[in-house]
Amino acid sequence: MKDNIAIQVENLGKRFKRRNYSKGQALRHNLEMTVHSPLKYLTSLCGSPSSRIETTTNSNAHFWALKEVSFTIRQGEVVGIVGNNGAGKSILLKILSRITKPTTGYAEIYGKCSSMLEVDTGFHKELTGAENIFMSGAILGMKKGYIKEKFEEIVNLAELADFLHMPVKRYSSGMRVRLAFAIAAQLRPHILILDEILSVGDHQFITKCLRFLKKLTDQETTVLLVSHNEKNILQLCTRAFLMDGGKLVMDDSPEVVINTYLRQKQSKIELEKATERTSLK
Amino acid sequence: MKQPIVNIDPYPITRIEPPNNKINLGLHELWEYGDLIWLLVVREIKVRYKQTIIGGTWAIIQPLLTMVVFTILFDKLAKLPSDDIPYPVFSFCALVPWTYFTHALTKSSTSLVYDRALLTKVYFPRLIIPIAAVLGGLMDFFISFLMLLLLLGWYGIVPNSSIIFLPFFILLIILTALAVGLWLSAINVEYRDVSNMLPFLVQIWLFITPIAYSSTLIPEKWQFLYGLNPMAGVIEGFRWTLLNKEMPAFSLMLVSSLMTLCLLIGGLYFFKRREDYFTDVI
Repeated sequence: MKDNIAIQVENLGKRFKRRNYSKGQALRHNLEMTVHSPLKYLTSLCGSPSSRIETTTNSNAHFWALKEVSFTIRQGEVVGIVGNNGAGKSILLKILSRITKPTTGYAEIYGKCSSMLEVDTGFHKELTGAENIFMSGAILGMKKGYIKEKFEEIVNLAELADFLHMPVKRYSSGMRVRLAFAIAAQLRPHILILDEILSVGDHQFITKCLRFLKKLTDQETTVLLVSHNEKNILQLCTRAFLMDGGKLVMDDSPEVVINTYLRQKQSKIELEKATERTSLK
Repeated sequence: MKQPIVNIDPYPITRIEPPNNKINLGLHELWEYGDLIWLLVVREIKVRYKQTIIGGTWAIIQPLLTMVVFTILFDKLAKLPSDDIPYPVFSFCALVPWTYFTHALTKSSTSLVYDRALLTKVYFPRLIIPIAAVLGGLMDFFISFLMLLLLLGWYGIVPNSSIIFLPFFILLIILTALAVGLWLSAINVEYRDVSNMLPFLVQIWLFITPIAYSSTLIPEKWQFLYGLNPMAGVIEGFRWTLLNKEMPAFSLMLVSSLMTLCLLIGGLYFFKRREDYFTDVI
């Protein structure tokens, strides 16, 4: 089992358009184009949105949020991704979760993949807790029968039996997180993608999450997670990635990667302090 | 490039690639997500009348009050001809499908933006969102339809055998709302101008559709052009099947149906082409 591939990523890249023009300008540009060359505009409508404004932009108008990322993850591996804000971690997870498409390269996912990029995905604040269990469960890809079967368990795990028929908008944020986690804990994917889930709850919640993840990884579930908590990565992961400026700069054991990351962070802080001192002088 | 990887059965393979020109409607996948469509429809119905006092009664009040106003303005004051049918039932028979249509159109056009939290956090076939928005209004439609049947009984109108065509017109109205909703929702993702334009669009559309008046007012030679508004065919179809009116001009029906079909196919194509960029520009 250990040698089977779970995620294969090859030369993955994502380019974004810098949105330094106002929406009105873009619309006006498109309207002008419609008048000047209607046919050309119509054909371009069916292409990418960025190609439409290409004529007025320069090379500075685009930036690569993710560039030339390649890696292979095998089944049962638990991979943690670290990096500063804007390093491309979230966009990588979004591409792997099929929320947005890459600009270059490809990724192949082997097996059923579930992702949680946010804790209470699919909750509607006007609906009750019970209604939201079905809503959120279906959105995470569970079948109705399966949710019904697990309903009791979810309610017990969330410790919300008395509040089931209250609209979620009246829940405290702690209650919401508990409910969301109880639903997500029923997922049995081959691959699980998590973005910063561990940073929202209190200590007790994180302990629960970690126990759940441990249970999954014991059953050969592959996990790919982003966390700003280095301790969690050291504790959970068998491998870690360091990302910077949209690139995968390091792929090693968690200890090595975390050390490098912390050292980088430290030197950056010192550099900032130094520049501050010189500017003060 | 690395060697291709041997598949590990029974694990499904998902390949993620840059957008390409291949259009795959993904109807099979849509079918698999049937549970989610159903839940979103139920959500729509439940959320609609949360924290209201009279709840579902709203579904009847809107067309009913419009009918009263229309009757006073167009029947009593302007004395518009209504093809020898009592004006209240004549206009209410049009207002029931029309109210559903405007509601479904507005909901579906703004649906993608309304559900952006879902769109940017989970994968599912994007078509689900406007489809569920269109279907969500059907509950209200059936409530007000019952009211229409009561009104028919009050005026002693018993529909004849042409009523078997009614389901066709109900389907046509759903598809028309979906067709226009697909276009507008996909545009609304990038240009919120759509949301601003919608109330105005609905208002204009009301006047070019035979709601307050009869399409027989339109000269024969213009019927074809008039039919380009798909709602013209739908509304006249409702009157024909429910009010024992003689069959409306065939050219009007045909043109309206074809127009809906064109809008729907074009809308599906357009939506599919744009959906890869929804989360990038929303």
